[in-house]
Formats: sequence, C-alpha cells, structure tokens
Amino acid sequence: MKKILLFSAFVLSVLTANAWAISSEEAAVILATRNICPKAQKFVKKYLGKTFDDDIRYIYSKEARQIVPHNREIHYLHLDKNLQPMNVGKNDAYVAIEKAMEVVRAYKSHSKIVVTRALRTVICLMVDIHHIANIRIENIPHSQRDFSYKYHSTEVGKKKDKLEEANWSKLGKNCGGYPRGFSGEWRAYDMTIYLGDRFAEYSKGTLKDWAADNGAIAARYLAIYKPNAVVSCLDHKYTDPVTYDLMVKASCRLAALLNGIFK
Amino acid sequence: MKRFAIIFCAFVSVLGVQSAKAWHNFAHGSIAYMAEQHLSPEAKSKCNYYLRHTLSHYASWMDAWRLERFEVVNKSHASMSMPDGINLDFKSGDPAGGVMGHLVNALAELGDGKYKNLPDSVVRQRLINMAHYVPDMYCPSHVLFPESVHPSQKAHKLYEKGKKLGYHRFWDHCLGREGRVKWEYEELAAAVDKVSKKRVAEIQSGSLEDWGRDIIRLAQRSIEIVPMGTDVAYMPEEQVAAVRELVYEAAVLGAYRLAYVLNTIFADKNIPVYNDKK
Repeated sequence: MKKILLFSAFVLSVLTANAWAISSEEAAVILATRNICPKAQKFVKKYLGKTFDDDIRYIYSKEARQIVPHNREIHYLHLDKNLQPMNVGKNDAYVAIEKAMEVVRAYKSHSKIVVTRALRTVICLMVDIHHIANIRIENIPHSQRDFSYKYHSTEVGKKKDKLEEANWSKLGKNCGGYPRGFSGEWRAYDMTIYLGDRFAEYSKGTLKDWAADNGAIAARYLAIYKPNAVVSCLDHKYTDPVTYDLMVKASCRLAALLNGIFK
Repeated sequence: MKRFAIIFCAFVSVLGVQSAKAWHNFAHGSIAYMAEQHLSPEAKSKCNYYLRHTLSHYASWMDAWRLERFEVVNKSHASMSMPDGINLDFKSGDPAGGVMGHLVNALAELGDGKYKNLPDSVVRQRLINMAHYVPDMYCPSHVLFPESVHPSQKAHKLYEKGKKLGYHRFWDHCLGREGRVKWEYEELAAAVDKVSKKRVAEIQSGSLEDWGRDIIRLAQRSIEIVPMGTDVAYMPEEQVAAVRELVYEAAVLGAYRLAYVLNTIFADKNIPVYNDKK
C-alpha cells in the first residue's frame, strides 16, 4: 500500500512547471549537469536514459502532459512568517522535493520507474522554488495568489512613459531579461560565466536554508509588488538580475542535492 | 580630427541621429554572439571578468536603458542624447560625433593598456556600450543623407503588402527575418559567419576612418537596393538576395570589428583613428 501511495505521489509530482520559460529551465539544468560529480552524472544518465538537459524537455512534452495530471499546488513553496517551510499538511514543492529525494537517496530499493519519476520531480521543482512568484508567505496575503500590477515603461514624466500591465506570476519569466535567440546551451554558458567560482557559496546549506533564502528575496519584492500597485520602471528592470541570480542558484543547489547522494 | 570630419562631410555632408532603435534585439544578440566566437583567449577572459556575462547578454542593454539612466551611466558621452546612429555633432567638440565618437573616446580611454588604470565598473560600462554600438554602426539605416544627396528617411517610404513601412524599421528588422520565428543566435551565426581568412584580415585592418567609409558605402547600397516606393513583401528573388547579402555583410563587419576592438584593447594595443595617424 505504502509503495502504491509513494508511486502515486511521484506520478502526481511530475508536472509541467509554470515558472520560467523552457530555455531558462533548460539552462539551469545544463549548468547543474556541469557541476555534478561523475558518480551523479552516471546516476542521472542511468535513470533518465539520456542527458540531463534532454529530460527537462521531456517534462514539457505532450506525452508527459497526457500521462500526468496537473496540480498547480505542487509548484509552490509555502513559508511561514519566519520564512520556514510550512511542510505540515501541505503538498507543495518543498514536501514533494523532500519525498522525492528520499526515494532518490534510496534508489537501490526502488524500481527504476519510481526513481526516474522522483528524479524528474526534483529537477523540475528545484527550479520552480527559485521562482519568486511561486513562493507563498503566510503573513503576506497577496503572495497567496497571482495578481496584476502596472509599471512605468520609463521614468515618470518622460515623453515615452506609459503604464504597462503585468502579472506577478510572469515576473522574471524570461530570466533576467534575456531576449529571444538565447539557446539553452548559450544561456548556460552565460550563467557559467556569471557563476564564476561561487559554486560552493551558492550551493551551501540545506533545502530548508535555500527555501528561507528564496523567501527573503520574494518578501523583499512582495513589499513593492502588490495587487494594482504602480511600480517604477527602475524597480521593474532591477528584478531581472535578481531572477537571474536565483536561476543560477537553482542550478547549483540542484547539483548539490544530487552530489549529496554520493557523499 | 578636422580632416576626419571633412572626409565624412565630403561623403554625406550631414549625418543625423536616429531616434528609433537600431538593430532589433535578436540581431544585436546574434552579432555579439558571432563576435564572441572570434575573441582571443585573453580578450574572452577579460570580458568574462569585467562583464560576468556574455557579450550577447549585454548586446541590447543600451536600447533597454536608454530612456532611463543612459545619461547617468555614460557621463563621458553626455554630449550625446542617443547611442544609435552616426552624428557629426560638431557642437559637442567631438568631430567624429555619435557612434564613431563613442568608439574614438572608448579607445582613447581603454587602448594601449589604459584600461588597467580605470575602475572595473568604468571598463565594464564601456564594454557593455561597445557590445551595442559597434555593431550598430553597420546598420544601413543609421546614416541620414542630406536631402541634396537623397530624400530624408522619412520621405523614403517603403510598403509591406500595401501598408506604409518606415525605411529605418525595414533595415533594423532585416537581419534574421529570413529565418524561422524562433531562430537562435547559433543558427543565424552559422548562416552569416562564412567569411574567408583573407576577408577577415581585410575587415580587421585599417583605421576608424576606413571603417567610417564602409558604413557610408553600406548605407548608399541600401538605398540603391531598396529604392523609394518598394513593396518589400513583393520584392523579386534577386532583390531579396541583395538585401540579405547586405545585412549579412553588415553583421559580419559589426561582429568581426567588435571582436577586433576588444582583442586590440586587451592586447594593450590601439586602433588608429586616421589613416595617416595624424
């Protein structure tokens, strides 16, 4: 029975992410691949049957969408007012990652399909919890749902200034303002340059620490971005580097989780 | 300096600033991507150090920020209100003016190893700017000819399926137009970057004065290829091919010269402004 429940949980967990654009997620995963140890590389290849970055595309495939029902809740990270994960009674990304990692760590005692789905869940949701619009903080009511706001297209008073409509859930969707044309591979290269020698710094801590870190960043932005708020063009543009930094962190932390299995 | 101005004047009399954006973002990113492939190891490592991103990441930065903090972050270019286009702004005291003026200033600041004496943030900003305006110089619509030579760009109306289309907009959006909607930089670079070693050597030589002449030649050709009144949706195949050849040439010049500028700076050398080095 327990096995069936576990299996069902992971089937439900392999979902389509609603955060970044695909190539941004792809880039995060490619970068993670470059930072995992050889044992983890071998492990990923064995269970995903192909390269790491090919698999992130699988999650978005029609086939995957048909097999797996979509549950939006699984993408969110619920935090209390102290930015600690509210993992009791929630079936959010944090809980799903922890459950999936239990299976991945004990991969020898599970069937290949269960481990594969658990691995896909970790990949997908580790990226999702680093998208600030997926973070729901207990004492910030407007973080509990998507909302719309407006932003000035340029500085107030300038001739070309106009108010643009935008949605919180789309914040950072294009990862640091990347224009079209960046392939996943080229973004990953860009992220590699950005990361430099900070892998140890970015991957330090536990899942709980990372959740709190992401929560603190989200809280800072939720103080500016509120339903119907009018945001200055500078606030709007300065979110790009932050969302970019979070994506690099997502890849480092994903790599750290997988490296941790073989320590 | 005076001579440089006279040469420009002889060709086009007056060159104006463009208020519209230059190459569109995709073209800028692709050209910067191409340039990145031709950086020397030294230049690549220095660019990575200062930018902490690829050149293509910052290729459209100037367009994205030009309405906000442009004048603040580019104090040395305060005489310019726009990064795009060639402007012989004699009043600013800079005879080359506009885009060429930016490049002359940047090379004077960074070349011959002088970048080492500047704060990292200043070097970074100059690199970000160059990643944008060096390719921009080669956008064919960035030269405004005097009306005695050719009607203004405003008057040079084109059409697309019968609807009016600005001359500037047409050329800005030409590069990559022939590709599929979601072309990536690598794909456009593969289509464009087929230059022989001999041609590369030609491109990466000469002075800024020669480069200025190339810009003017490109602009003149663009007017001849797509004359006033053309409906770009119904251009014959030869005309389409000529347009493509021109924008590919412009992209190649922008990319290789951007790479050359950066390679030169980080080899502690400089590029002469005038042919006779006066």
